[in-house]
Amino acid sequence: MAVLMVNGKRRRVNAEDDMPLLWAIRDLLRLKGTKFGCGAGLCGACTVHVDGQMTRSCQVSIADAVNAQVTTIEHVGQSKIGAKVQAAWQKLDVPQCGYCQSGQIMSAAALLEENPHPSDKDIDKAMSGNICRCGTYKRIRAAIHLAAKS
Amino acid sequence: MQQRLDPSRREILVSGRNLASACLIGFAVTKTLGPGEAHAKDGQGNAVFKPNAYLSIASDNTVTCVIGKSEMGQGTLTGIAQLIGAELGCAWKDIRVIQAGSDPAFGFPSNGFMVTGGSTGLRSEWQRMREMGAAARMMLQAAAANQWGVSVEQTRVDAGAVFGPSGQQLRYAQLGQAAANLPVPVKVQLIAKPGDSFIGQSMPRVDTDEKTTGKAVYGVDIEVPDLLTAIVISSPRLQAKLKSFDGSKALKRPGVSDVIAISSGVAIVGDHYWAVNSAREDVRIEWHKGPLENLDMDGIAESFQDALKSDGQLAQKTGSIQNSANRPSISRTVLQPFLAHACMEPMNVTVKIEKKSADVWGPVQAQSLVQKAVARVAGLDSKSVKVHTTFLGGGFGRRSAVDFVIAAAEIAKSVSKPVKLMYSREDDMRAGRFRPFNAAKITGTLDEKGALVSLDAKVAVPSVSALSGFPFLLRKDGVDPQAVEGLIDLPYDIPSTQVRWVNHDIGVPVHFWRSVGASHNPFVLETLIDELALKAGRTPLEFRRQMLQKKPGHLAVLNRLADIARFEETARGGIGRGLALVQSFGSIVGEAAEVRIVGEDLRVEKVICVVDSGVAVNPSQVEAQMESSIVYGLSAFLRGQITISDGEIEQSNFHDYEPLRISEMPQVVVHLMPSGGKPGGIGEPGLPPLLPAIANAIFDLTGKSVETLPFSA
Repeated sequence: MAVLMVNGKRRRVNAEDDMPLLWAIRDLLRLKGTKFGCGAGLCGACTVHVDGQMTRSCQVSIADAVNAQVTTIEHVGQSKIGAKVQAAWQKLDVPQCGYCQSGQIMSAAALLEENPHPSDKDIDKAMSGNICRCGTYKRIRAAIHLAAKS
Repeated sequence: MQQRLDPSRREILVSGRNLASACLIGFAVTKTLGPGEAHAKDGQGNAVFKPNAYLSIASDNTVTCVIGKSEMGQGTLTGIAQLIGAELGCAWKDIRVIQAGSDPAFGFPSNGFMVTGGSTGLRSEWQRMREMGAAARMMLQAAAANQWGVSVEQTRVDAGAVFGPSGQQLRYAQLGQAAANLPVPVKVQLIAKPGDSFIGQSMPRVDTDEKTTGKAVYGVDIEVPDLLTAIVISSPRLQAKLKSFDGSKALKRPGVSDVIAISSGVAIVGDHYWAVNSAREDVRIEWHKGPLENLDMDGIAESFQDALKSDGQLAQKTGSIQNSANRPSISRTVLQPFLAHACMEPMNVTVKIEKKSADVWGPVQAQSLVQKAVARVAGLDSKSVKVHTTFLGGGFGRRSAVDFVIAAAEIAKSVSKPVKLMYSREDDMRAGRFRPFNAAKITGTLDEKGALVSLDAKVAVPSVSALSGFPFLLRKDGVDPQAVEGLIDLPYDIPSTQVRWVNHDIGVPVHFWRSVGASHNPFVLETLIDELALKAGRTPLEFRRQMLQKKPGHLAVLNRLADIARFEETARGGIGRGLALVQSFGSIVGEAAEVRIVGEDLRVEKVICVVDSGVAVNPSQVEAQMESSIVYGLSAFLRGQITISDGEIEQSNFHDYEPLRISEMPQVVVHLMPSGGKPGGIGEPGLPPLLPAIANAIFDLTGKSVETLPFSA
């Protein structure tokens, strides 16, 4: 039994210590917004914030997430920057299939928390871990710039 | 504008009867509702005005559009809602979209077959959905006219209200019950003008809100009572059958309840994904060797080269191929690789089978085929299988297969509980159904004036339509149009053409992949054209212009592209430029690429796209689909290949099948030039010209033609 701090709440999860945080979030806490894309830290669909840091939740075990603040897509809008990012995404109609977008938004929010006015190179570096098969990259970039300005 | 997708939500009933029997408008039954039959109740028991299966209006003016196309990112739900709303004359903010259940009413108007693919969603519903909206509008106007004692001609509509000649005004909500007392008109008047209604405007997508807040429900997210989760271990070697297995160790793991054999492998069933996936290594399995034991890329290439030597079947012949002994000609033979769809959402589906009925929840494209497949496994009638379509985390054609549905159904039947089958990324990469490996040889012959006078093409590729479960797409003469698209019916004016198809199936599972035959055939043709142009002493632009004199629409796209890409100016130093023009799925797309080669690295710096999709129902979404296809095609060009060794797929995850990342994005510019008429497709047409445009740019820069894909410097 582990206790996690998820989206500002203490949550108990009954699972083996080595269970990836991703699956605890999705199947034990039943927060479905964080997505499974590859299980290997290659695609970014599972991105959450752990103590404010962009983190691939499929690569972090429950044991390593105990005592840390975990934020998922369901809660990121509670922060000023998270809300700005979501608003920019909505203004530009960024998502197509949308499956990667929770991870994209989480990565973008983490970027903007650290770097309020990122250059295109900064965006490349921060967002390269998030794959989009629908190819929404042009709009993702525009939305990050829009959120930075707003 | 929120789409509500609640798997437990019941379908709207019409006067207590099921949708299907009452509202089969357009499909076989042309019955429209009579007076009083358009009264209905929504899921909460509130009275609504429901003149057909596709829309209803509630007492708060909410317009619920029920749409049966699968939303995989292409914007079909938004586009179709625009068609309905434009004729209905409601406000955009009042529209809610509901995913339809499985019913012939939501299949093609011509035959009730329910599938989303071939970039046909909006085009196939263009007429019907506008008529449905128009019929409702006419009834509301008539109800208002009756109430005011004026003629219908004296009324007009705007943003969900009817206006009379002397300042009278009633909202649709206020008129719904009176309208429902009227008969539904059989003949309707379409009044929405593109550009002056929702049609032609970049309306905001109906699903953006959910997709940016983690609320959107995909197949992987489905939860139903008593749900078990399963994975399937299938043979590493393609087409090899199960010999024996021992699941005893796996069964000891916490959260694992069953280990069973199904037709495609061994299923591990349990509480949730991590529990069953962790047990993968605990199952001892022996596989038969299977028919593809020695299959490898050298063998495959040789097999396709050999296939090109046979005659195959004639797909098209125009004019007569001149004996071109004395004429300059160029032949080009290109082999192109297997490609995976690699949707972001791994394959999955949830199936529940009961004695007299079955339910399927998930990201599927071919609902009619899903019903048939589950019915066969469950021993039921197709009509007893209900398909509840979720959002699709990418489709690209892959989710119109039913292999994963059959597997889930077999497991569900075996354990007598609802089962969600989930693929790992490795399962997804290897679980077949690829864009087929193919080979094409094309010869172009010039006359003394340097004009292209004959084109002789042969393509060796399996019948994707037949192998994908869509044999009815074959022509009467047995030719699969999907095998030869991009080579037949060319817009270019070439006096003699011959296209032959060698149906070459080597046993690797294949399926429709974004733009299908047009994903590989135009590559060979459009690169050959640039080589021929050089031989003829003409620019690629002039050479194409010459052949498009009778096709003003195609010429217009080409000229616009040349203009925007400044093709007639000298390129900047170190930059190669190339273009390609392809008509597919009802739209004409020209693309131009600018590339640079730095050391060993190819840098695609810019892609310009000009698209004529007839009517651009949502310009922003047309642009988005072109951007999407360009990225999808560029991934394929740079790194796309699925390879086989000893009959096993070598790739497993995104490290060895790596899609384009944001840092590799070229600058992309899209210009729309809709020429009017009807809408053409937008999901696929942006892909076919992309690969040849880049290859032509490389040819321009280096003089070397791209012989193999994916590209290597």
